[in-house]
Amino acid sequence: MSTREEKERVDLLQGTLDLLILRTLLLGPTHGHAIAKAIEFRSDEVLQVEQGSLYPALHRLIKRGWISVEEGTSKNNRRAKFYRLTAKGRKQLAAETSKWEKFAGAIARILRPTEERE
Amino acid sequence: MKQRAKRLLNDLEQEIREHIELATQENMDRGMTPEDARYAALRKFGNVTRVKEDAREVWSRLWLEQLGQDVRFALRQLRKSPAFTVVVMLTLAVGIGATTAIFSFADLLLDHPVALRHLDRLVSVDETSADGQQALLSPANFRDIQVEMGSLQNLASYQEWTASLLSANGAQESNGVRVDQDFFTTIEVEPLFGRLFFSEEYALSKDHVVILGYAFWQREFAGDRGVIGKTLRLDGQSYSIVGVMPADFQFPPGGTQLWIPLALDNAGGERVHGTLSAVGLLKPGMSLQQSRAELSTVWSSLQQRFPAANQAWQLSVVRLRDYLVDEDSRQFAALFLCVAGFVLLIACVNVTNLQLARAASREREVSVRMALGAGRTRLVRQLLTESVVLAAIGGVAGLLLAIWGVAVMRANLPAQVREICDVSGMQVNLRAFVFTVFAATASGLLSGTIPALFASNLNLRDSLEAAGTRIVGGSQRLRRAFVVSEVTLSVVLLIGAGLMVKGFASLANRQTFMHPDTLFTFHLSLSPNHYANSQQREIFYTRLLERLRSVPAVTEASAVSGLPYSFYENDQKVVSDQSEGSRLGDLPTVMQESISEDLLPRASASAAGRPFLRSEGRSNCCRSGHCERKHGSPILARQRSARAPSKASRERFTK
Repeated sequence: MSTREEKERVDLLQGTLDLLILRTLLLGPTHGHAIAKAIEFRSDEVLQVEQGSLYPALHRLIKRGWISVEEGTSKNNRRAKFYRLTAKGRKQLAAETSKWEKFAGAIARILRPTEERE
Repeated sequence: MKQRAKRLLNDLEQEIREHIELATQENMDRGMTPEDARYAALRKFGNVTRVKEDAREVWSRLWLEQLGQDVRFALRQLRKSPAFTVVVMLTLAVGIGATTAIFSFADLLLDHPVALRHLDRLVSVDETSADGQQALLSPANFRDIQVEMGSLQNLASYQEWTASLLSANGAQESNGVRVDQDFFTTIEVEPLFGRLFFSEEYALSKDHVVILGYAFWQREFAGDRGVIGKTLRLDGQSYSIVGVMPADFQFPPGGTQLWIPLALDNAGGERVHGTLSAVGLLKPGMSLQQSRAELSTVWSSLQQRFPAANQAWQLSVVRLRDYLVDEDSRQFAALFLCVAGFVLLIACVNVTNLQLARAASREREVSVRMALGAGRTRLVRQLLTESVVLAAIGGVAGLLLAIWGVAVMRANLPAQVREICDVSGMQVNLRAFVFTVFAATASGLLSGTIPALFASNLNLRDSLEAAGTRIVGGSQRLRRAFVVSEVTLSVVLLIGAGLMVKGFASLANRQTFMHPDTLFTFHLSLSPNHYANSQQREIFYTRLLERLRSVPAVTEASAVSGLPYSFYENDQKVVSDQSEGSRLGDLPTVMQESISEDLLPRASASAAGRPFLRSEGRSNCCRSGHCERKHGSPILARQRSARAPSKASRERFTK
């Protein structure tokens, strides 16, 4: 049973995780751990990303050409992989963002009247 | 691309380690102990193995890699339990082998009853009466159609023919066919060696040339290539051998082994009596419907010009394939395929059951793998792969079985089947192979799905804690359900087979009817050169029957146009006062056979009434033209006892 629940959570996050990564990288190229932390921090720790799932997502974005990867050095002088948003990724982010806003707005409109009635 | 993926994946491990170290460091900065910090970091990261696998999966060719892995793993698993593997393999081999063999037969029957190059474009043309009776084309009609047709590239006529061959072994009946000038170009066939007929050989005085079939050549001349130019005595006349046909050429089907020229000189003007079969080749790109439309216009004008001969007949153009293999044979093939399908289905249910039993004993293995991070889909996929691998092995064995089965069928199919299709062309061909692959995959998936779903649906902790000896209630119920369905399928099959056998047995053993155990039969054909008119034939048959009756062991003898329960040629529709308005196809059909006087009185059915008198049926058989047709006339004779005819009496008959 436990495995099934996990799976459902990952499924739920999959589309959004890509969006969050792209948005995070808009601020500049950075490495995996920093992306995970940024997502957590910026969402006031509401979104708990299973950090491991970040990496397949990064690979997926590389494959689609939305981000690129380069070798770099982290703050404490360690070699690390830095992920950078590509032009294509920027466009994708804009599209996805507006799509997400529409979606979230629609959901919100549906939910609001019920709350007000109570 | 590929290179980049490889580097990324190679570096991933290092990257993950960095990630966890960074997280650990941060946790320690928040005041955790090193162990706690590391543990928390690991927990937050999730399942490292699965992350790596997921990342690998992104670079997609993965499923193929996984398939390879799964197959290797499956083979290892199967090797570990050889008894299980062998049982399943044999079970599936029987199912798949039987279906493939039957498929090959159906394929032969429905797709290529004869091996001709452009079978798809070949059509048969004949005359059909309003009540569905088929008749041969008359020579004059044939000529006119040939002149006016636009949709056919070629139209050729042929005439089946039985000759008595005189060789060192005595006289023997041989099946042949007279073919016209366009025959070989229409069906597009070249001799193995030697030549086809010259155009001047299609004339009455020069037509004593013959082309041999491969089997005939092998049998009579032991495959000697020097056979060209030798003569053959057929119907008392000498024919010079000019060529030998390739082994796979067999047209018209039904054991044709001799081809001679068809000379139409004198009979060319005959319009009423049909004597010709016709085969045409559609022009490339021309559909059957177009050709039908065009030829029906041609036929309409022939009807207007010659109403007396043609008014009652329609021209029928059907694909040669459909002409050779009628609806009954198709249904027969479909029935056989269904039966074989049932066998395969039973095999699958059997295998499902075996796999379910095995799934229970593999519970621990599965739960360990789940604990190590295998997802359920991944597990199901692996188990299904195992099942399909099993089925593939079974499929290979089944294919071998099918090849053997087809060889057995090729050698043993009865003459009636050989009449309509060229059995020697039956083989496990590419289509049958594709069918096998399909059948094997389907049965692998079919028999594996439920066990795989069942095996992967475990409560992890329960099965890890139990020592693997737990009995799962659900599985028991499931297996019982399978046993029930298996028995049901088997019973259906058994009842079907039983009814068929019983029907046949009651037909064969109707003691009140023919007493077949004391009957024996043979058939002979008379050479038209020696028995040119019906009177001569009548005299011959009368004398033959008299002499047969004089043999001490024989109580009665009779000539018939067709044997009971064998192929019959004369269908008649029964029309009565009540049948007005009913469709033709709904009218009852009877077989009409002509018999000579002696059969009915003693062999006979319990029918009310009296036997024919000699004056009523003066050798009807000979008059109706049966004797000239392909099979000559079967003779029925009854012995005093049920023994097989003794050698002595056999010798006496051949005199």
